[in-house]
Amino acid sequence: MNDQIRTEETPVRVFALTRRFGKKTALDDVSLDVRPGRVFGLVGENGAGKTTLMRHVMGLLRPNAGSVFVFGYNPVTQPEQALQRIGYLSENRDLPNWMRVQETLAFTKPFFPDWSDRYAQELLEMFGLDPTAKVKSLSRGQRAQLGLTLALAHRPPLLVLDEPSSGLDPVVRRDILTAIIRTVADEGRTVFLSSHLLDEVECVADDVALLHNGRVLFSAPLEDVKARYHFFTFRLKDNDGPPLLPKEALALRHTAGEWTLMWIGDKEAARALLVEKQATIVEESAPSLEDIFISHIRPGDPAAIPMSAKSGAKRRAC
Amino acid sequence: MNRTRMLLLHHWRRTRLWLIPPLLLSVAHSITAGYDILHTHSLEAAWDRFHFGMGVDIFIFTAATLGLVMAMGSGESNAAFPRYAQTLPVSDRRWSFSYILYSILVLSVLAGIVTLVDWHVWNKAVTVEKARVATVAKQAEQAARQNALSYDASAVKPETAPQSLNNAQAEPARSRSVARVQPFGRFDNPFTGNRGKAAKNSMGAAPLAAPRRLPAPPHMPWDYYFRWQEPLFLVGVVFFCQSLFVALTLVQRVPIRVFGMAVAFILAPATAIFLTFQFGYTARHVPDYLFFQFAFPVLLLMLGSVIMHRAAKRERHGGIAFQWAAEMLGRQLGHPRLGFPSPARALAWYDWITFGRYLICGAAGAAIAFTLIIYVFNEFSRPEITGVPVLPICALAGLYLAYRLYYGDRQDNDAYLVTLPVSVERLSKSRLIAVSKFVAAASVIAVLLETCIILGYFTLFNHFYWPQASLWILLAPLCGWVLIWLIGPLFYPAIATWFLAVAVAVLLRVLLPRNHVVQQDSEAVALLAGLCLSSAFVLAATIWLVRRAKRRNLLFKWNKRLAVWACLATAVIAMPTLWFELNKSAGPFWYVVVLPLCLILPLCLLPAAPFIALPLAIDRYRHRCAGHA
Repeated sequence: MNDQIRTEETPVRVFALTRRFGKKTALDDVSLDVRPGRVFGLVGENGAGKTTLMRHVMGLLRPNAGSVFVFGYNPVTQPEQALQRIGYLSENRDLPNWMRVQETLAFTKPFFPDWSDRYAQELLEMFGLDPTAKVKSLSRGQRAQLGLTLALAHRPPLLVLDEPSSGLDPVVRRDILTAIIRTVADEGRTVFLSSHLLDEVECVADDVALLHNGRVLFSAPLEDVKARYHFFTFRLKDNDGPPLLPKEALALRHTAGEWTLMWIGDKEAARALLVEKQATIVEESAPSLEDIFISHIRPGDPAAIPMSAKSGAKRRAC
Repeated sequence: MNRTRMLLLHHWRRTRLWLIPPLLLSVAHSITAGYDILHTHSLEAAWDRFHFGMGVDIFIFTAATLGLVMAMGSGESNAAFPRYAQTLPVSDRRWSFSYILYSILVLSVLAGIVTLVDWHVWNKAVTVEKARVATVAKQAEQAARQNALSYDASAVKPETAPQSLNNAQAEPARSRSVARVQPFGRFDNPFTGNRGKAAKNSMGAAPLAAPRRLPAPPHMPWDYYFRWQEPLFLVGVVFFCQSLFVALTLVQRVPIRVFGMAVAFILAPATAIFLTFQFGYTARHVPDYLFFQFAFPVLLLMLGSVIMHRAAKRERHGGIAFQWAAEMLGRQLGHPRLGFPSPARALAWYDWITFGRYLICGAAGAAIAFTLIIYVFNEFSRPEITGVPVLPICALAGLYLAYRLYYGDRQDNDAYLVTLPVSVERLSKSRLIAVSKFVAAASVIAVLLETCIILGYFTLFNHFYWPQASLWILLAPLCGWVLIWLIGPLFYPAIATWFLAVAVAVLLRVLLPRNHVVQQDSEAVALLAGLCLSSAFVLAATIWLVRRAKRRNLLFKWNKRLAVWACLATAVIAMPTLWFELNKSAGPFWYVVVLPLCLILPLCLLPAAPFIALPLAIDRYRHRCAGHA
């Protein structure tokens, strides 16, 4: 794709991106679009390629094949234009340890024309960070808060958060989620976040993509994804073994005389099948994102269905 | 497998690759020493080279690499006790013990290998040399006999009997001659205290039968020279160096400490080796000899072990040594910077804090140290040698930047920088200007400091003599200072170019063949081969750099212009100077002038490297073109 292509309305456009590290293929023909004003959650197990994709969006890696555009700019060849529109919080909270908090803000400010001192101060106060403290003396949570302050203070149209709440306590996690929600709700900006904490993604994301072994398994609005998956709890008339099921049945679990099935696709087809198998449907429920995630990562594994699948959706409500 | 064995295996796995270079170096050293024997026919010189060379080169490298790897190995911790190992169910004592044992074992085995290789090469070379001398002696004897016969034929009888008139007289002469050619058959072990005797014998080993023009080499087949105490004290030195980490934790997260450490690692064993060789082998009294050969290494080993153990313990259980010093160093001087008018100013401040201030402090330290050295060598009356620390400063600056580009992401320093909206061009330009500025300022400070010390010395202790150029020496750095800070950023790349040009000129001067070299074929060939290789390497590297930069669109107007300017400046400074120097050399014109100049010409491309390579390096660092995520 030509570097000159301008798709200003699309915050992030990834097209046929491939990235290899030696013999290992970290990203394999990945394509996805992040729509403006949405929270896009990138989920996947450890080593799936989430951080690699994030680093490509930031221009910190050069693609082996394919292309990445941020508001129509190539972050590798046009870093100034692309990065000025991004607020970035890295997984490792890469901040200069020798600086003080206020020095970090002062140092970052001249690079962003839209920097707001007032907003930065407001965020610092909200997080309760001491401006005179050295970065190396901050805890992991405080570093994340400082990183978020730096990412938000110039009011970027796109916020890129790589594992924003990994290793953080619930209070800081809540702070970060609140900040994300506020950014999007109040100002209509776009958030692109990766996480393996699926309940958190489920809480804030509008769109979700599942990355597995460097490939995108699906990328769609969260409601659409959740609408395609169903739990059916049923009893069989002859309790003599697991029923033979088609490929739409992602997982099956037997607990205390009842079977629980995770089904992908049309709900009516599942009902018809169970009726055909002379099964009595006890309950129908919607799986959580975590259940969907596990069923894709380990297809056919009963562990994809939680012990209390009946209340799965309620259990994970935000 | 028990724990100690497991730990030994761990140390081995961590350091094995790093032990290959010193081993290869030692083998190469032995082979070249043997080659020297065959070409220079000087067994004395080669013998010295074996002993001093091996001791100084091989063990320094071994100790330095072993220590550095132990220290830096995984990158997780710069301490004697790596972070991942601190949570293992291993006591501090066992860890320290395994470390000590491993170091002793490895260095002993290395010393053994080095000794065996040296022994083999030495004996082989001596055998060849003996055969050569025997042939020459035989030829000389035959020539003498023929002379005697022709003397007989001329019927002029000498007053004394000729050497080989009859067998009874000739035989003792021959045996005496052979005895002189092989004065003591086996080299006396210096450990038995007979080294002086051996040297004395070798000096008086002029064979009667051999012609005068031939040197009389002593033949000393090597009967296992005892040097197993050396690894012991080297291990001690390595441990002693480990204590540096405790001190270096005072300046946490400052990568420049690695260079201080590396220098210490090299200097400390070098000092210890120097002491041992200087006083240990030349000691005339038995107590001195025993002290430097045995007590000194053992004491050092014990002290080093204790310090290393304490360092490991402290590393595991926390706590900072010299808390007050850590606080003092960590204290911010002046007010923190709370605003920058432009990104360029912000980047300049960043480079000043992470690089500039250390470079200038280092320059000041180097200047003081150098002044002490020239005082010791009684060279205060030569004011022109002030400013010599400038070259190491340039080298240090380059090394440090290369290190930072490689390790920056692991040290949490530059990882943040590359996420900021600033282009590679702007970043590299800013860094180049900053480095030039700092190197220039550091050089000025070094020269100024040295000059002040020297002038102060003359003022205080020598009222009657002032070096003639002293005033100019004092004024020159001041002028330089004014230029640097007043003329502005345009001047900085020029200063960098000038320093690079000087560095290249010095390099060329060292590499060039001189008068005496022409007479010694082996060295001249080695020098020319070195020149050929260097030139080919520089040429290939420059072509590769330019092609790569062009492919990545990193050839900008400013760096192209500076690169060309730097090359031309170097050529203009270096080539005429070298031409005049070379013209004075003996030997054929094409051999001593044309050939070296042709070979050196590609080296003039060297100063272009920073201007082309820095954007490439920053681009690679930023985008990690091929490597880890």
